[in-house]
Order: sequence, then structure tokens, then C-alpha cells
Amino acid sequence: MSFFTISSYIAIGIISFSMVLTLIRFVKGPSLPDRVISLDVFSANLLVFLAVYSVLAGEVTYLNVALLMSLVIFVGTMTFAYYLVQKRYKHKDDD
Amino acid sequence: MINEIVSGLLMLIGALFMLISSIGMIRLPDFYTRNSASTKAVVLGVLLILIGVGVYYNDIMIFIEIFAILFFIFLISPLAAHIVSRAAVINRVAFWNKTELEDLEQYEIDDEAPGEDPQL
Repeated sequence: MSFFTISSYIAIGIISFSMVLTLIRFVKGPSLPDRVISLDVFSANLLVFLAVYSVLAGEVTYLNVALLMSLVIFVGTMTFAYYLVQKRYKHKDDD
Repeated sequence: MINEIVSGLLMLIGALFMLISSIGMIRLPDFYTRNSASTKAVVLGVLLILIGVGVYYNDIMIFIEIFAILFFIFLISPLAAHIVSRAAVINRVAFWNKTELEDLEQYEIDDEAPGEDPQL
């Protein structure tokens, strides 16, 4: 095995471990914004995982999937932030 | 040969930055400090790993695609961090007890009519 193969396997291992750590924060997170940003970091980890895996598998197509992931992250985070602000105003209407 | 070594080193350093940001997500005491951990280290890690992948392929089309991904990440990440932390302040997520809140007190978050901007 060359140095490149070994280092990309190690990188995939480190990225998978950090995905597990962000999922722990997603389960524990005391408030809803904690969960939103932990999902954000999880998706960024997934994007990087796809990029390294495209090198290992020799498929350039996975990089297109990573490009789409970077757009989906944006839409997901924006939607959750908009929902958080709207929820606050809804509660004030009920009072 | 030399570009494989450079690419492997870049990917390892980038993966270490992703690990640092995830450890920060676990260990930091507060939502707002966790938000800073989720922004900067992730951007640097994504930058290093994608440049490593581009150096390995050594192709101009791959570099254009990677530049597009990096453009979106650099555009999105500060914007999303700002908007989510603004929503957290509006929802009154608790601060850490060692945070100095004197600068925040001039922005009074009153109960306003729905649809009005709270001027944060």
C-alpha cells in the first residue's frame, strides 16, 4: 500500500469518528439550535467523507454529489433558523 | 508520486481539523461557543481536504468543481452561523455563566408584534 492509500483510509476513520461525536451532541443537545448546528457539522463531515471516498473508489461522480450536499446544507440550516424565529413569534401570540 | 504525498498530507491535516471541531461540539459549555467551533474549524477542514482531492486528480475540471464547492461553503457557513445564533438570542437560549453580557444589554429584546424585525 502506498502512503496515499494509507493516509486516505486514516482520514476516513477520523471523519467517521467525528461524525459519531456530532451525533452524540445531536442526541444530547439541550436546545433546538444545538441540534441544528450539530446537523450542520454532520453534513459537512458527510461532504468531506464523500470527497475522500471518491478518491478511494476512483469515481469522480461522488464529487458532484458533494456539490449538491453543500447546497442542501444551506437550505436545511436556513429553514430551521426561519422556523425558530417564527416559533418564537407564535408563542407570543398565544400569551 | 510527489502529488500523492502532498495530497495525503493535506487530507490528514483536514481530517484532524474536522475532528477538532467535533470535539469542540462535545466539550464546549454553551450554544454560542459551540457555534464558533462549528464554523471556523469546519471551513478550514473542508478547504484542506478538497484541495488534497484536487491535487490527487490533477485535472482542471475537477479543480473548477472543487472551487464551486468551496465557494458555496465559504458563502454559507458564516451566514448560517449568524442566522442560527440570531434565532437563538431571540429564543433566549441560555448563555454560559462566565460570558460577559454587558454589550448585549443595549439590544433590548422586547415582545414585539409578529413580523417586526427585532433589530439584532
